[in-house]
Amino acid sequence: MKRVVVTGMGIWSCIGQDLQTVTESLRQGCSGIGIRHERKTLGYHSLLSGIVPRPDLRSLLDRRLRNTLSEEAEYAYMATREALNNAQIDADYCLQNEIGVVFGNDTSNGAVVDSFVNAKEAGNTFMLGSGMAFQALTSNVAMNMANIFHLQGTNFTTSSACSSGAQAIALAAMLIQSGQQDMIVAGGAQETNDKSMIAFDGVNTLSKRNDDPAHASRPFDKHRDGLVPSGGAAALVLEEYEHAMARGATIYAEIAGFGFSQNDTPLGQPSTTGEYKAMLNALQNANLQPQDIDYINAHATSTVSGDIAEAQAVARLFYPEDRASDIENRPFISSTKSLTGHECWMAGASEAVYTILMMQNSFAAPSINIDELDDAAKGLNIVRQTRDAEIHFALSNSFGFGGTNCTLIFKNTRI
Amino acid sequence: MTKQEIIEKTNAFLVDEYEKDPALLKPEARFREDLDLNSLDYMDLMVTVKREFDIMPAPAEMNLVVTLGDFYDFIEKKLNEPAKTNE
Repeated sequence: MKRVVVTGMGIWSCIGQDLQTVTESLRQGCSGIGIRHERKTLGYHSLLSGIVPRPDLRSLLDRRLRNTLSEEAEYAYMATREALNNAQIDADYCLQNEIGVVFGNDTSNGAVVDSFVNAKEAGNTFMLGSGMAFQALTSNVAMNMANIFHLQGTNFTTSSACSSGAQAIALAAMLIQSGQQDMIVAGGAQETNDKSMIAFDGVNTLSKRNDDPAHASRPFDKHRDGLVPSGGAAALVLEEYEHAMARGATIYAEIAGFGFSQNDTPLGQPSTTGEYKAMLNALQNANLQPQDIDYINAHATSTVSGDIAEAQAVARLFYPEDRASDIENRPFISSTKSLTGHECWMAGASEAVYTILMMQNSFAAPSINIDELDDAAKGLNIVRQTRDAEIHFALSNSFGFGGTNCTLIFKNTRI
Repeated sequence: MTKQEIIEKTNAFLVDEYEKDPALLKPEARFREDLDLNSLDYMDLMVTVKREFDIMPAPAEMNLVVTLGDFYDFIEKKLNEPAKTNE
């Protein structure tokens, strides 16, 4: 089976809009969370959100290309642009070679709701213009990236709620492993508008710590009260190893393995067993043992039940005996969602970028805002201050809201 | 609205919103061939026409517009039509 490596990355997130800034935000433990006051009038209980700037695309894309971009596709454009530049792939290369695209995205609520409201106001669907028919599709990210960057290979959209971005990377890796493609842009994108998360506020999953945004996302803290929605986009250029070597590409990491599972619990309820299986399947796929993993980028979103289930699953797989013994040789764990909030459909891809940046720069970002560790996480090697570390293998968890789990494992190719 | 005002308003949004080269904006310029406006752009033009002139053309009417000069004439004609009442 062919090997799959990462030869380019791009990111547009609430903790930075380029790789360098994001690396420093991770190292410094900077929060990207703020308040969207307008949500109050919509009946939101949580006004918290990752604050993601909208890119000014007028100087970068012509009107027709901008017209079909949803909010999340705008972010994806910026992330993909950086990833291809980072991989030293230009437009000519894209035109002359077959590059695929796989993006994780599970809603385009902004476009759907705006279309309905505008048509109702105008009394005429012709007043929507031509772009909304494209923007309203969950596949709008992948189709627009293919259109803009001339990606003429496979084109897939993965939709599995909060594991969509991770599934995109895993699917892209499978396509390269099997020889279907030599190179694929894989990523995830997430809208942040007020329509995007309204139903999640309605099922009481969001933090209500409105008076203290930077401390609202607090995975593994005993006093967490829900997730903080966030968004943006992340993109990775995945490439077959020999292909990357032949063109002299810089290799940032290798996709060592991936694993999937579906929970056995009712929708909306996490499953320790399901999450354990995803991690175990990923280890088996990578032909690794638990002790080979140096760092775990936890899914931990700061919800009450979700963090407990993951802590239990990690303990079961990585701390099968006494948690307190030999703790320094167990994988250390952090949730970068403490900084970014929950980037939802994008999270699996953005956390892949965060993890690889940490591997590349020999540190683990802190899980901030833990004042009192939850009992379920006690004895786990959770990083609360930035930690210098050589990471050989890192594991990243993404657990979808509908019980769809995906775990990725990355190998550091620098050490 | 005078014909000159229609021309100025139209040319302004074609430059600002549709990013067309002002040098191309001559009455004889063909929408599709010279100004590179396709069928989807025509749908967007309907939205712009509503916003700028407060008239709502039908797609079939817009499809009869071939040149920029036709468009000026079409807008002038629509603006001068007596208001329709609902039956």
